[in-house]
Amino acid sequence: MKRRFLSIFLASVMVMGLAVGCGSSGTESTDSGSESSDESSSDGKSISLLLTYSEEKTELYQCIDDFTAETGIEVEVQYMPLEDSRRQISTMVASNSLPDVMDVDNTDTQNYVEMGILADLTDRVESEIETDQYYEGVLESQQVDGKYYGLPFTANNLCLYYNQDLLTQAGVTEVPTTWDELLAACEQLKAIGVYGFGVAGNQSTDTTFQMWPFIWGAGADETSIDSDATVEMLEFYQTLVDNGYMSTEVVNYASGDNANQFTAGNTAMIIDGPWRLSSIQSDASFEYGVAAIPVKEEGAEQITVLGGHNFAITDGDNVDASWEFVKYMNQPEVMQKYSEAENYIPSRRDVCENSEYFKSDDLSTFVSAMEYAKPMPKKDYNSISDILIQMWQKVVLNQAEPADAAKEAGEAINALE
Amino acid sequence: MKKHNYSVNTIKEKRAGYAFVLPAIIFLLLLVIYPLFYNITMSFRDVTLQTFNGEQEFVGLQNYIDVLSMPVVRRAIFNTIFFTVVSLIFQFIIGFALALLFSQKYALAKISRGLLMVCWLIPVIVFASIWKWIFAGDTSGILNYILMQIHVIDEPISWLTTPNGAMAALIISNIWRGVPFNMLLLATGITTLPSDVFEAAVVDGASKIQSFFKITVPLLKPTIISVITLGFINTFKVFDLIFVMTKGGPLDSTQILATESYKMSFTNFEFGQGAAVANIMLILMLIVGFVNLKLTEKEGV
Repeated sequence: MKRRFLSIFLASVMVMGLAVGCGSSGTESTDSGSESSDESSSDGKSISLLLTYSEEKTELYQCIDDFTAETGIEVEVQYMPLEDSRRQISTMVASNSLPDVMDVDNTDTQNYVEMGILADLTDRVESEIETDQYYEGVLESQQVDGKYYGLPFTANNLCLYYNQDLLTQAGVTEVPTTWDELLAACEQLKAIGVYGFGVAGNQSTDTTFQMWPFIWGAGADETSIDSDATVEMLEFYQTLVDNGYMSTEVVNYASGDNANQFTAGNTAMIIDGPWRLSSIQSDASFEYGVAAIPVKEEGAEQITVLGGHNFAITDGDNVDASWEFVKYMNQPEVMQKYSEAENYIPSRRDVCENSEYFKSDDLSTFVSAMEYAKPMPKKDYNSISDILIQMWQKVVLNQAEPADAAKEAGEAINALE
Repeated sequence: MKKHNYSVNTIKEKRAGYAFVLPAIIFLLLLVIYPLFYNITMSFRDVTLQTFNGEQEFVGLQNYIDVLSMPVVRRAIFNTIFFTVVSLIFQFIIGFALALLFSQKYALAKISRGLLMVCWLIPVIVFASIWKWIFAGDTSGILNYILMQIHVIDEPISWLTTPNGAMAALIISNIWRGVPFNMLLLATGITTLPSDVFEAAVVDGASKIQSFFKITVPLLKPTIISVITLGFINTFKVFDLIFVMTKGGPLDSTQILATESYKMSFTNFEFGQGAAVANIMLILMLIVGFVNLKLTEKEGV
């Protein structure tokens, strides 16, 4: 009897193990990788850095080596893709093994502040950093409730990529600057058998990222989703889909999939960021160009969304050395070096102005868009993002009318505490 | 009370026995029982972003009540069961058919059996991306192209962009993956069957169909039960396939418990709720585990 009980127990434990394996375990998996950060965190001569860019970014890693050569502070880099880092940071908090400096997506900053793991850098930023040299939006994205929790690392925004060959072939002479012109161009492009427009539309934050310029462009924001402005924005997408200007396949596209359709010549115009330039440069067999995102109507203000990564410092006894590193990476020469190598748009206006590289045709559009690029809302970002994607997909998949979808989404956002 | 009178030797032997199982027990404690326990306690506490690093209030069943009242979770429970059962039925039937085919003695049987295993060995992320292309809904999708060329359909099917199409596409990809596993286990079972009973059946004039249902299936019963149980567990916890192909979309139509739990914990940082969803999965799996134990136990008698 006893043995039978034991065998049942062990068998059920095995079954459970399988169940938990894919749920939210994982607590044990990170311990080994970050033990060293605990040892090094007290002497101030060494810092640990979590980076979401791999060693392929040689210039970036060179800058980190230069920092060590100059200051004698060793930097121990731990590389992790962004998606993984989000997951791992939570488990690192639980196991008390956070790195000293983390490269975080700026929409995540608020989450980490709420977790209580980031150091307040307000005094240091205000006394040691030339804040007047930065783009306002970038600085704003470092702040939570008016306090600084990071310094910029990379910045970006979204613009319109267009396939010049297809536009010429379809007889579109001017790159669209308004929604109506975009629709008209799509009509002409449809005649030559290609989709006029494409965006990321799957259930990921890519979709929301590409939606903001249109939400704001229509005159809505996250606090006023249940509004006529949102309805107009949704009607614009409805028109795109109903007329066959945009494929409904986009609901399964992340921004990379969408860009593949562009480089393959299936979609004539897409929304994407500067990080896409190098792959388009190397893969596209046609002439392409970059323009500002079309505005709702003639004379409306230009708008786009600001993205980017920040360096955040975790609260602990190694803040001083970490601050040295973050400050070093924000020096104009250093920022210029790694930004030019990877097509990151510098967060500092002076770097953009002094660099010939950023005056090139493709990049200058992104650089000038920095002047009006707006940071995304931070509070409850992921929940808001979810709600907006549902709203948008319902309209694109013809499962709801724009007015109903906007109303439902507005109510859902209001229901978030 | 019964009194034990062990000799010194038996005690020593017993100690040695425990020493041998010690590594396994430590392994279980550290890697299975601890995370499991942690996950269970987490589901009864209010673990969110704000409380993650500090005091986590005990909230009893509140997390379970919260998640079960969410339409998306109820949908995920239905989706998980639907996905698992449909996948399992087809995997099993196709796997069994192939197992019977490959247990015939012909020249290429072993090679084709080995080749089929390739489907099972390809990393999920690779074949999920390939299936995603195959199922592309416009004319670029090869499946639609083929179906249109052979005039099965006139209009391309929106596989991954409609709720039902996406579920169908996921199930088809999952069946494709699961068939070799079923085939291999069943084929191994078939080769171990004694040939004399079949010869006797032939002598008695049993037809092929009769000998299949009256001899092969009953003799294979233990194998069949374990194939189905393992298949159930494998399918129930599928995560990467769905994460790569649809991310639970469109409109949460392919969200299953595993992806929903992941999303709650690591996208929305509602760790308590995520843990509750993971435990709901666990309970469902335990039920299957116990049914399996009961069935195999009967077999043993």
